[in-house]
Amino acid sequence: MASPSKLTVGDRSYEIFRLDELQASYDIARLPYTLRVLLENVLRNGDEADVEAVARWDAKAEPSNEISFSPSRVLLQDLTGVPAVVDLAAMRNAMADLGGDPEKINPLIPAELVIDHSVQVDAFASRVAFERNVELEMERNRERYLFLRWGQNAFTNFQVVPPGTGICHQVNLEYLARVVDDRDGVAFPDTLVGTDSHTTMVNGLGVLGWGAGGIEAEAAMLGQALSMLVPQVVGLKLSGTLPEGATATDLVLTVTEILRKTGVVGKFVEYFGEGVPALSLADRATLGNMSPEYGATCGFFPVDDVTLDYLRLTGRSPERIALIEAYCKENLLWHDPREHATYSQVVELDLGDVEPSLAGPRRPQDRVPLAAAKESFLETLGTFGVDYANGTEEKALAGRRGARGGGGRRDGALAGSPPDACARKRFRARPRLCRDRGDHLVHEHVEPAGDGRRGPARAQRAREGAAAQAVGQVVARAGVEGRDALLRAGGPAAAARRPRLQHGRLRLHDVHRQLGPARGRDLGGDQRRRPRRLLGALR
Amino acid sequence: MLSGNRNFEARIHPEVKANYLASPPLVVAYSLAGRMDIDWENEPIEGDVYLRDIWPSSQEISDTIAQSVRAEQFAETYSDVFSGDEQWRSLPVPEGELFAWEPGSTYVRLPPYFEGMAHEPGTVSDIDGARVLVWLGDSVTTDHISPAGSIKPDSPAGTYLVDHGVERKAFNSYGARRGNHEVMVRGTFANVRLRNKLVPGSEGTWTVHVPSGEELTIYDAAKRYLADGTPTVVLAGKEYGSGSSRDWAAKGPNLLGVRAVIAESYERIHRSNLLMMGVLPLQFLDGDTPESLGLTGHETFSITGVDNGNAQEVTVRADDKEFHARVRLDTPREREYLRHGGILPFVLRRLLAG
Repeated sequence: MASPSKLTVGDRSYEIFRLDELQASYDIARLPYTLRVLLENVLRNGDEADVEAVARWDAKAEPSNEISFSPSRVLLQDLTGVPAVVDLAAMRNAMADLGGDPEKINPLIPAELVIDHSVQVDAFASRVAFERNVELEMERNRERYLFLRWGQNAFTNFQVVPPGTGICHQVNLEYLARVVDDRDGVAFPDTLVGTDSHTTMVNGLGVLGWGAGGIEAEAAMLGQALSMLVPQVVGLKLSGTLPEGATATDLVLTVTEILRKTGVVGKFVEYFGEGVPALSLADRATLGNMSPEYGATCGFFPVDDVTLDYLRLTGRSPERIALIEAYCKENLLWHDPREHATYSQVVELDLGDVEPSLAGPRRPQDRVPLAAAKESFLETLGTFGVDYANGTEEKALAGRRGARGGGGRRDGALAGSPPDACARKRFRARPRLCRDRGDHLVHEHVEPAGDGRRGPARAQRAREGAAAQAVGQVVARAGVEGRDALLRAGGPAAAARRPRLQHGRLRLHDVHRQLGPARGRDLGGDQRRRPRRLLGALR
Repeated sequence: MLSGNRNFEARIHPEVKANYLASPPLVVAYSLAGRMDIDWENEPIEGDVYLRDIWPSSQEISDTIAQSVRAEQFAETYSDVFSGDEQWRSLPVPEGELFAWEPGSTYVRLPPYFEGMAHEPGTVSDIDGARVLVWLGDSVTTDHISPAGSIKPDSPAGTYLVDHGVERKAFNSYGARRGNHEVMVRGTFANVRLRNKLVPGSEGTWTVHVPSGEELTIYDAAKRYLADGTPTVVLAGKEYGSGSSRDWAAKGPNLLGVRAVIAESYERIHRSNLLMMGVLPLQFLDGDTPESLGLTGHETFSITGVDNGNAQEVTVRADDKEFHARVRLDTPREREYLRHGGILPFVLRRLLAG
């Protein structure tokens, strides 16, 4: 097997497994970045057959070579993480019963659990909603929280990020991801499996990993390599830059549409080309996040200057960043936009062609250009048995009843509001703009950092603004009262200065700002750890 | 309208048919308009204000980011990230190297995977006198096998919770109860849309307890088989276990006493999960299906020639019918897992020895 070489960074020295030493035997330089990461992984952990299987990768062949992949850490969320820790705890009992030492049962690689799923919306649209939610949350989650707290103390290599910190993928991106890790003097690319399918968000940061089941994650935690087939790799070649008005969401919906047509299920996707340096980390994380929606195992961006800038912004240590840069440049993992690796298939996208879009009504790949949104929605209504042109409430509801054997005002309101004013009145629904914890972060970063209304403790949740587009943290139900409710959401304190839509005054990014602080003041309490999850119509 | 990443029907709410993904500013814009049937180009949101008038420029966005996002904010947030707030820190945390399992907990319970475990691994043995617990068609997903959603009050899991003093409104979901095997084993094959060919035309968690001919829930039937020591098997069609890689879709059948699954084909991860939980994955030979073999599901099954997991093929006898099935233990490591009764006992014995 390969022997490690030395890499000196500043006054520290690391052992690394150099890929270019394999170049004499194999054509390593042609491999996509994702496979270089896999190759390093098997070079360090696997056997010669594994190395051979990756190094001799045939871009066009159907995957048939199985390798042992050893992720360097595991990311858990609470729903899938609790049973995994239950199993570990049960193993300790069994170990004791069999006369062994229970303390031998520990994750062998770092396992980090972020509590972000146990929080639900129970009450809304009332002043007591927030307090009630917190109360119910504690009631409902207490036993599991106690258990996880025990685990955090009892196990080495197991850490819990408490509720209220953020969505696990965001925490992974901003804090947990090492990008290049080091253990016992050996530096290596950070890789992971996570027990949530959107683990791929961290692919945007040059970290290879994907969602896995609880048993696989447990296996990885217990030091077992995961078997996988060396996959095909589809290269998505990006050129140009995003046009004015287009967002990361528009980009990812476009890519999802393209890649679903291409067919990338079971494959790696890797982004490359001259368009890559122009994409912010938030754009990249958004594209990585939605890998399950386009069907790929991962959606990977190799490390470059944008990655390092983001790592600096998020407060990673200078030593870590220096190691990441030196390691990637030394070991064929630094992105060169002019490079064109060998891919199983190449798909191209000019970022300049991306336009504002929606996707629906039920699949992420069914993109609708904003310009065609009205027309498309009216067609969709027809498929639900709603006659828009002659839209009366009765007809619409009859359609709904016919379709579902039930129906009600809410159905109609949510399906769409018929144009008829009377019907519209009957269709009134209480609209809600729900923002979960992730969105809370998003909200915070559109607060001006120097805003005197918010102390540092409040402002600290600020995140990179464009990450707002990354994942689904705004859930808005637009009913016919939506506008007024939104504008009222600041509560009575804000009502006196209720913003109205005025030419040139209220901009969309200001709406977020108008909503947040007033709501926060109403609630009082520990804002930092108890972010408001509901911004719905306060009455 | 949502700025999330998934919009399949009923994802956001069971009654919402149309769900559109869009960027956060567009979601806000639709909220302001309050309706879906707006032509953004030609209709104002209100008064004479059009979407284009309030749409931020990329310059405004980047200025906002520049103003709002600073490295010290991240540093402060994460300087003490594992400590949590006062409520979290003030939890009375149990101590000790072993967890003090609370007998009354309905969320976290000691699972029985290691009960009666011996120091030495066993063998992968032949199966005799087995009954079919459930017979499924094609494309059965892990959500059919182990649903993640709501717990029905009249289901075995719902009954269990009620019996343990949990009010219906506090049921929570299967997903949240994964730390309690008692709930999860009762929730196995409890998907309301499950179609079991042993009970033609049925939907839900119903099966036939073959010896008595009684129609029972799958959990109740499995309990009877376990009580009288009858091993069970699952018959399935193509792509068995597709969908998300859900560990309880393998843990659940294991705890129900399912010794083997015979499927036309498997989703890769689920096959691996099954064997990691000690359930033998077998596959009908190409072209064979339960129907083509004339199976009724009411036979007594024996599976012979397993040869401690080393066999490529086994002989399956179902009353007077006989056929061969492939053993889907594809690597030496997989055979090793099965001999140990799954990956957890495998690792435990290793650590015990080391």
